Amino acid sequence: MATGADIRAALGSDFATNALPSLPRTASTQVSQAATKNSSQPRRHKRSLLRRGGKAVHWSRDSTGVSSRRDQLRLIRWRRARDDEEPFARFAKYDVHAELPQYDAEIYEAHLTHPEWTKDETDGLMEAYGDNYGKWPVITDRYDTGRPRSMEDLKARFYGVSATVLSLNTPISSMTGPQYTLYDTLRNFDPAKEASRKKLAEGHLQRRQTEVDEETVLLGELQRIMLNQANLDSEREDLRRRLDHPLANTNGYQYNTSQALTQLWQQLLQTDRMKKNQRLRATGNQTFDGLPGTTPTSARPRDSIAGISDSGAASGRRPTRDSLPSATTPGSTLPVDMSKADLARFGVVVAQDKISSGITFASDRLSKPRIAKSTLQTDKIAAILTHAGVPDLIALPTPAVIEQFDAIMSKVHALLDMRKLAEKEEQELRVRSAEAA
Amino acid sequence: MAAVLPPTQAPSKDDYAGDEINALVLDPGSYTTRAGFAGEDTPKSVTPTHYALSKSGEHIFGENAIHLPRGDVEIKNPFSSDGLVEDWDTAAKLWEYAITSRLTGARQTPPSKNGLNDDPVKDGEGDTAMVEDMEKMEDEEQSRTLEEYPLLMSEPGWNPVKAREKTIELAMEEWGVPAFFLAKTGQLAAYGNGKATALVVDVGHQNTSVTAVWEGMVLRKSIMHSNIASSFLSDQIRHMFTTQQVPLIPHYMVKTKQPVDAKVPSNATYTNFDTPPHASFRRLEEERVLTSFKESVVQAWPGPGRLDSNTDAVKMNPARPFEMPDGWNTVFGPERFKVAEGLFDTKSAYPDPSTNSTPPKSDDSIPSLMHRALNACDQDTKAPLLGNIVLTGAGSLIEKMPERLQTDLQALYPNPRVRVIANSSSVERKYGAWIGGSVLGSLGTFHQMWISKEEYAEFGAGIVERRCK
Repeated sequence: MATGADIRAALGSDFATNALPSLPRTASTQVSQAATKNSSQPRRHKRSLLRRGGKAVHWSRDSTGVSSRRDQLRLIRWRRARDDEEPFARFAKYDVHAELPQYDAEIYEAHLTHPEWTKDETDGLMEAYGDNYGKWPVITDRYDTGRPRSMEDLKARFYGVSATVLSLNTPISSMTGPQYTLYDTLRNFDPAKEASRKKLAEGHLQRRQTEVDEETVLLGELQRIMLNQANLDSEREDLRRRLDHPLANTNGYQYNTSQALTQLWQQLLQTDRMKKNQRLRATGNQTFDGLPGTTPTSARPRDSIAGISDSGAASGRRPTRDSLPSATTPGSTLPVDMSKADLARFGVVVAQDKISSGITFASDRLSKPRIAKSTLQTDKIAAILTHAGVPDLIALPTPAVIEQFDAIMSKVHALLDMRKLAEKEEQELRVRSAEAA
Repeated sequence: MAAVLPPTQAPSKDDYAGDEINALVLDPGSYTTRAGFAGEDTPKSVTPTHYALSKSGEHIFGENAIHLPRGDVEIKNPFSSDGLVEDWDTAAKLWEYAITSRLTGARQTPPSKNGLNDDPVKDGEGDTAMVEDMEKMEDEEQSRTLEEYPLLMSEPGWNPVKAREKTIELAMEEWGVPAFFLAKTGQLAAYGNGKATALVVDVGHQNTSVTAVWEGMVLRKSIMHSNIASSFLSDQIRHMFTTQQVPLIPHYMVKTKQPVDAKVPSNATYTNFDTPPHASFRRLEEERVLTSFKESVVQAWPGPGRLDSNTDAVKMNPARPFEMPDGWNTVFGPERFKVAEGLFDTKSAYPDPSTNSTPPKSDDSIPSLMHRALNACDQDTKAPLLGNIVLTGAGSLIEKMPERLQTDLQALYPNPRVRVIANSSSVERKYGAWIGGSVLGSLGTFHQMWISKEEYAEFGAGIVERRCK
C-alpha cells in the first residue's frame, strides 16, 4: 500500500528526470528545488490529497495471533510499522460474558430440585443463557430440550436458581444492600403476572384501527387544549405583569399613570398653543385638555396616587406655573355627581348665598355667634344658652345642628332685644311716675 | 457481546471497531454470487450463478461466457428452487471461480497445459517423472489460491445442518482456508444496514425470506421463506405477456430491426443458427429482457389498500412504453401494477395459462411472511422489530415496494409505529447481505469467532453448528 509520500517521491523523481532530460544535472536540480519551494509556499487553492501530511508513514504487513483465542490462528493485516500495540488488546474489553449461577450436582440435589425440571434441562437452560449472552428473546428461541416452555417458565426457573445460589453463597443476613435487592427481585419474579402483562401488551398491539384513530383524535384534542392553556396562561401572566408592575417612584418612566399622562398632554398642549403653527389638536374632552386659561391640575379630584404622580412630576422636571396646585380658586371643587343621600351623608351643602373668601370651618358657625361686641352682652347670651340647655361645645357641627343652632341664636337675639326694650320701657315708666308723684 | 451502548449514542473514536484483515466474503445466491474483501464497500466480483455446461462436460462460468449463443451448451444452475445448493461439485467450482477470477488472481495454467513444457522430442523415461512432478505442483498450486485469507460465507436461514457441514468441509478441506465462518443472510443484511435489532425482508431471486434479528442474533423460529420473489415476478410477467399476446424475443435472436408502431408486428430479421442454442439458454436470455422490463416498467401499487380496490386510481397513472428487442412495442397501463401485486396479495396474481398448476398460497405473500415471522417472536420484541424493518435484496428494487410494505404492515398493525427502512442506493440493496458480511469480517471484535483450521481439525464439521448460530 503506497502512501502519499511514496507516490509523491515517485512522481517527483520521474518528473525531474523525464521532463527535463536535456538540461544539465545542476539545472534540473535547481528547477526541482524551485518547484518544491513553490509548492511549500501557501497556496490559495486546496492542497491535493497526495501532498497532505508531513513525513511518510511506514506500514508493515504482519500476522499476529488473536490473544483471546486458544488456537494459533494468525491473521494478516497492514498496520503502522511503529504501532507496537497488540491489535486485539483494543477489543478485549468487548469480550463480555453473561454471569451464570454456579452449582454442582450436590447443591442441585440439596436445594435446586424442581418438580417440573430435570437437572439436564436446567443445565441446558444455563448453557443457553451463557451462549446467548442473557438475551431472553434469543434464549427462548434457541432453547429446546424436552418439553416446550414459555419465556416466563424459563425466566422463573433461571431466576429461582440464581436466587437460591445467591443465598447459598452469601446468607441473607450478611448480604449487602444491592445484593439483597437483587436477591429480592429474583425471588419475587412472578411468571403468571408476567404472562398476563404480555397478554395485555398483545391486546394493545392488536388494537383496531378505530381505536387507534380515537386515541389519535383524543390526543390531538388534548394537544389543542394544552396549547390554548399555554396561550391563556401567557396572556394572563402578561396582564398580571402589567398590573403588578412595581412603580418606580424615582427614575423610571414618569408617565405611568393616566394622571401623569394627562398632565403631560396638558403641558404639551399649553406650550403648543403658544406657538404659531400648532401641531397638537385638542381631544375635545374637557377632562383631558383642561380649560384654556384655567389651571387644570387643581380641577382633578385628589386620589390615592396623586401624590406619587406629583412627586414624579416634581422630580422629573421643574414645575411650571400652570402645573402648581393652587388653593386660591376653589372653582368646581364640588363633586357634582352625588346622590342626595350621599350629600346628606357627607354634609355637603350647596350654599345659596355668597360665601366669604378663605377657609371657614363649620364649627365656627357654632362658636362665633356666641360672641357679641360687649362682654356684658356675651355673658347674657351665654346665660340664656345655658338656661336653654345648649352646651358650650357642640361636638359635631352637621348642617342640621348648625341650622338648629342658628334658629336658637335668632331667638336668643330676639329675646335679648325684647328684654332691652322692656327695660327701657320700665325705666321710662318709673321716671314718669316719679314726676307725677 | 459487547457492553451495550444506547442506540442513540455514537461510540467514541477510540472504539472504532475496524480491524481489516483481508478476509474474503462470499455471498452465494441463486442468481448471482457475490465475493469480495471484507472492509470494502461493494463486492469486487459479481458472477452469475448460472453456468454453461458443454456437451463434453466442461463447466463454463462468468458473465461473458454464459451469454454466448452456442449450440453445444446447456445453461444450468446449481441451486434448487428452495434457494439451497443442489449440485455441490459445481457450486464449489463456481464459488472458487467467483473468488479467484477477480480477487486472489486466476490460478496459473497448469504447467502441463501452458505450452511451455511441450517438448517435441520425447526422451522416453525422464518424461514420466516430469509429468508426475508437474501434477504434484498442480495440486499444490490449486490449494494455494485460497489458503491465504479467512473466508466468511453467507447462507440462507433455512440451510439444513448437512449443507452447513458440507460448506465448512468444502472450505477447510478443498480450499484450505485458514479460518471460516458461516452467517445467515438475514443477520448480515441487518448489520449492513447498521441495525442490531431488525426484521429483515430479503427479496432474492428464488426466495423471499423474513428473519428477525434481536440484538445481533437471529431468532431461528422467526425465519420464514417462500418463493414469492423475483423469479415469481418474472413468471407473472410471462403470464401477462401470454394473456396480452406480447411476443418475448431475446436479444440474441435479433439480427436487425426496424422501428414499428405500437402493437404492430415487428419488422426484424432474425439470426439463424446452425445448431440452435438450448431452450435453457433462451430462457436465460428472456430473463434478461424481463429484468429490464422490471427495472423500467413494473411498479408496485403503493397503497393504501390493495390494487383491485383502487382500479380507478391506478388508471390515473400514466402508462409506460416498453420495446422488445425485436422492435415490437406498446404501453403498459394497469398491467404494470398488476404483475407486482402477486407479491403482496397472491390471490390477484396472474394464473398460469399453460398448466393448471396450483396458485401460490395466500400466506406466502411478503406481508403474510412478515406477519408469520412476527407471530413466532416474543411479545416484547414485536414493537421494536416493527419499527426496524429492513428491506433488502435485488428483488426489492421494484418501484414503490417499500411504500407498499409500509402501508400493508401498518394496516395489519395499526397501533405500533411501523417503519420500513430501504436504502435508496440500489447497490446497497442488491448487495445488502454481502456488505453486512464485509462489515462483520472487518470488525476487530469478530476475530475471536472465526473457526480456525485447528479447531476444525479438533472438532470436525460439527463445530459449525456450535459456533455459527
